[in-house]
Amino acid sequence: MSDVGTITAPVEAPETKTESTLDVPWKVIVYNDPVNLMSFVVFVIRKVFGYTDEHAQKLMLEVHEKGKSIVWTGAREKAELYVQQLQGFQLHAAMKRDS
Amino acid sequence: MDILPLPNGGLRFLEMPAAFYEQLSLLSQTCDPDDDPTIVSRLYPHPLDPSEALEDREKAEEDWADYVRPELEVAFDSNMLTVMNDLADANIEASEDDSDDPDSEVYYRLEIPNDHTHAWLQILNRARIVLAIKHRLPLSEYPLAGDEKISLQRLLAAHLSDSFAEISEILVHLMMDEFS
Repeated sequence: MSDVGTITAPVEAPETKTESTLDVPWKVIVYNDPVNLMSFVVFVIRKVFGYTDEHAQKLMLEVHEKGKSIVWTGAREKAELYVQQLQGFQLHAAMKRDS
Repeated sequence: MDILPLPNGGLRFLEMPAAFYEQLSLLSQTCDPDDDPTIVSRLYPHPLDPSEALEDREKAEEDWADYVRPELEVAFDSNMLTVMNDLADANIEASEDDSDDPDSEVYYRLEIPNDHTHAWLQILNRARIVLAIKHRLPLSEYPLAGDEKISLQRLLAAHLSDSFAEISEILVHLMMDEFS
């Protein structure tokens, strides 16, 4: 016999740790490295994120003066891609969960 | 040595001394971390901030080593090949003053095409990172103390790193045009 016409209560998927972890935004961080030229850091930040010169300069100065700067926040997969691109330019970059 | 911008981007080096050309030709060795763990960990840093849980860091580092680091190494090899090919294409030019003198110094004319500037910038930057760690540069941050010596090798490394920095500044300045 067919179930057509019957109404079934929607089953709510249990909330799993994995799902909630995936939803958490991640921060991309650039750390200070005295070897990298300031102009080079500005160039790389503009190249990778497409920021304006003014914004890239601000982030670079934050890296230089405070030792690190959060340059982007968003989905983990994209954060990984950005970290890879930054490391490809030899910037000291990593990511962390946004708490 | 004169450094001139090319009309379509890129750079031309005129009368590059043979000694400097030879240093550039050694960039492959200069960039080699020689399995020094400090250099390797700087060139391929951990993908997660130290504040993340150790367990997560270890897993992420394992994945990074398996999937991302090989891609970074391939990109580096490709950039190095570009740089070495440009150096191989450099022409020898005699000094105008001593063109008849067989003992006159040899000069090179090197061109970095516009589409090779990224490769050069990345290779020069990596060379400076490796030099800095290997020779504890810049020297000004390591003043003489106790039995510490500033060897000729360290002085030369500092000089080389400064030269690479100057060229990098010019390249960055040129490449900023791509944003306008």
